[in-house]
Amino acid sequence: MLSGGFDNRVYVWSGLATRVAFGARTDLVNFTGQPAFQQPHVACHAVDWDGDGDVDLLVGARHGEVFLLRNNGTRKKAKFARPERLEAGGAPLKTPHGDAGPHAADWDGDGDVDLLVGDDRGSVILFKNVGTRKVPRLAQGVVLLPGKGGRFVEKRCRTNEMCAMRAKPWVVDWNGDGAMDLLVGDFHDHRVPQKMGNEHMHGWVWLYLRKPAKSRKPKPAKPPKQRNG
Amino acid sequence: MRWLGAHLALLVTAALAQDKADRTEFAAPVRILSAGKPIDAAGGHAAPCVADLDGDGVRDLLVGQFLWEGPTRWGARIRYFRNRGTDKAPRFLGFTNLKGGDVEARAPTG
Repeated sequence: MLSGGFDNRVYVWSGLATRVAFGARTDLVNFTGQPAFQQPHVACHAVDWDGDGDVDLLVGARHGEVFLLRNNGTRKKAKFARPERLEAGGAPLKTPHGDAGPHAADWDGDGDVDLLVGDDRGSVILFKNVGTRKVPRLAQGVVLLPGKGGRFVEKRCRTNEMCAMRAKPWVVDWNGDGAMDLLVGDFHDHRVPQKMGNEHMHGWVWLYLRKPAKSRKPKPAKPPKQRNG
Repeated sequence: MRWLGAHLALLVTAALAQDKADRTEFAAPVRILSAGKPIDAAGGHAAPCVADLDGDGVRDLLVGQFLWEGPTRWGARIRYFRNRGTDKAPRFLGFTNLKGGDVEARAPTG
């Protein structure tokens, strides 16, 4: 079990033979002092990014960048390379509002791994893999869910910018219909100076079920009018 | 020239129709429930993860969350929601805070 931390580290709790049991926490990666990680915090996702059979690490940073740490070891004994900043559309990848929450999955069902990234304003951006399974190449991002994405839950959230922030996406076929759906965790800050406890902050998990894709075949076009003569 | 223009118009129309067809559409978002109430990671910053944690063949739900523990102290912990239903119809009836060793699994502050 892995988790990014507020202190720019990625922690790991090794699984034990007994299910739902983990060993003590240890540091997996420490980004403290690295130029791209001057601000807290990081979010991570472990995935086989390059299709070589082991598990690599994607790390989202506070300013919106996403880094890849390739596993140059094995599945059983990871050895991570230096962070490589991911590019999309030929330019360094960066979410518009920072706080990148990366998640890699085959979103479009073409057999390779795409990248989804949540950001600080609550949007989820899709970076399609237009390369291959083993050599991913990300296209320019498109907004899959706009900021807040319809996740208002109460009147206060309609005017409060501190609602539905810091989206953390997870791709899963939730209802078993064969289409990949989206889970999105977020953050709502309802605190005021007199009320600062955890009970005044909320983190809901939203389900976005994917609607069936419309037919990709355009309707047959009408032939141009015949001209006489 | 009008013939050429008409065919160009047809090609552009076809391309636009294809672009619209690529856009993903979702049903209105709903909150995941546990024991009939929306899962709410008090402290916020909910980060979901789906995995079969107990090895029963059904996917469970983990939710990471932030914890505010004072003006200069923050942390994070991980809630485990065991799936009591099926993969096609998940059902959650509460959670436990995951442990690492003998203590609650937490990501500390800097």
